[in-house]
Amino acid sequence: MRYLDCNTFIGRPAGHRPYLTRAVTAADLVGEMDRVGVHEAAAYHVLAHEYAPETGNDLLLSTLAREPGHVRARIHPVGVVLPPHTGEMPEPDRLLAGLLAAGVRMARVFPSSAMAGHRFSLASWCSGELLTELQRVRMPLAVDFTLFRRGEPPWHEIHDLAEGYPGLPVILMDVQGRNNRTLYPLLKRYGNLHVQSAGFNVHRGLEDLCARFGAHRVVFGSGFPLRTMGGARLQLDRADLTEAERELIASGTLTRLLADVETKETVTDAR
Amino acid sequence: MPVDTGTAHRDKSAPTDWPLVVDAHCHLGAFRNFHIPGHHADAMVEVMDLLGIDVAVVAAHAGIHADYRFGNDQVLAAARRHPGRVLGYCCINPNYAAEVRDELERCFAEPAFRGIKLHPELHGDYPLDGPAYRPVWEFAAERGIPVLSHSYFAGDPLAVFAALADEYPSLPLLLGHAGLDYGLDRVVDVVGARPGIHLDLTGPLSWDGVVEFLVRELGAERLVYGSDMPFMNAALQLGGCVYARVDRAAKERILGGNAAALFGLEVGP
Repeated sequence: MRYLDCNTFIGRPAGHRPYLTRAVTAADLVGEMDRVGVHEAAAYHVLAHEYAPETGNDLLLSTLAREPGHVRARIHPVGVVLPPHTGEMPEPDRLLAGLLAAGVRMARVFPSSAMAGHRFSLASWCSGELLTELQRVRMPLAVDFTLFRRGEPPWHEIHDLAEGYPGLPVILMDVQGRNNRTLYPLLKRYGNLHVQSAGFNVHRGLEDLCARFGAHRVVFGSGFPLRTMGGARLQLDRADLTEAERELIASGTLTRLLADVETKETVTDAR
Repeated sequence: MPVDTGTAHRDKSAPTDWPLVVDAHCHLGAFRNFHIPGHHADAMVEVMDLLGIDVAVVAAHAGIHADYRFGNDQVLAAARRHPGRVLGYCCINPNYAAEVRDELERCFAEPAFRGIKLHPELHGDYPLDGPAYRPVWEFAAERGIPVLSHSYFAGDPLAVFAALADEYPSLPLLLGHAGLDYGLDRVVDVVGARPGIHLDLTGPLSWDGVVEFLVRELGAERLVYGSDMPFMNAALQLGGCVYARVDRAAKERILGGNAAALFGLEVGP
């Protein structure tokens, strides 16, 4: 069984006193993966979330470029993206071409208007060009609403995103544990929606998701270094699932999604 | 009264093969605010078996959120159905102040009840130091019964817990969610000198580094594993403990040793 954690970051976060007040290096991340038994991780740079996406993305790529091959081989860089309208990021075709050329195969957005988010709408009139381009290259998009523990995602935005871009694989990163009554009809209608495992903090939750929608709708993720990687592993390891279901969640689905990303044409355009 | 937790009868495997695992913060039953798959006692015990949890100490959702007597009856039925695996918290509702003492007497006539659960937030934010809770503190202090109280960002200040611990030094007080919303460094400052207060780790166990910080600052003797099952996912909480970077002796205390002492449990043959 291989484990691929879709939800990690490196860098020095602003601080979650007193338990996370350190810079987390790529080597630290790989060290924790070794300790817990996780083979690969998709990681963004925390400055791409907490400061500016382009700055963080550049730091992530330059940091990983300096790492030894055995570290680089286990970390999939994740690009944090914004719509282009303010000029903070290139137009989506150039943005995606650049990310793909740099080896990025997964994107992440923080669209929430809360202080922890990047405060933009996922509606087509705002994010349409970006989402269209992500869909064109089939790049998995991690959507993180930076919810408070009792929070509720913006359901209309998720609905419109899933319906408007059916070829875009979407992973809901932190859907929390209190939202099944609205989440389930969305999962039922839209096959491109996926749920990050540890972000689904529900009693017998993985079992319930798999029975209703199939294990291919759940993607293993922890939230490390903010949240525990061990908790995410135990949640999956001890869920009452078949080994085939567990394998899909642990790495099977995300490995396939990453392999399905269209790279050739876009990389050519970037040159 | 000793409880046969039956640990010798269950197979466990790493990383949860600990001699005794007690989940000291569980619930039971439906919750109006959201859907919980498998919220009944049988399904909870199935999860306990998957996770290697020997004993769950449960407070019914109905007890903290609806009809407290209905909820306490649910707890008693679950404990009778799963002897040794399910123990109970007696819930009282301060909005029914005249009934508090009688309900405590009714519950603690049954050996399955081992603690008292208070949830001021869901009972109209009734203050912990208000008069309707006074019989609880007196009853618990007289008998050495652990009281687990919810804490949250807009609830009773940390100083209220401290004042109650000072007033009732024989009271075993479990600070729900370890007072996470107050800031754990403040919690350490306040509870460090009050040995009657234990920290219920339910919730904070999600965050990497919490166990290491609290063991370093307070020692493992004051920490108790809890998960909020079935309100939340027990494995996510348990994983935060069994994978923590602390030594085996500390984990044994947190996972079960401390709770066994608090709730009067004895490990089975």
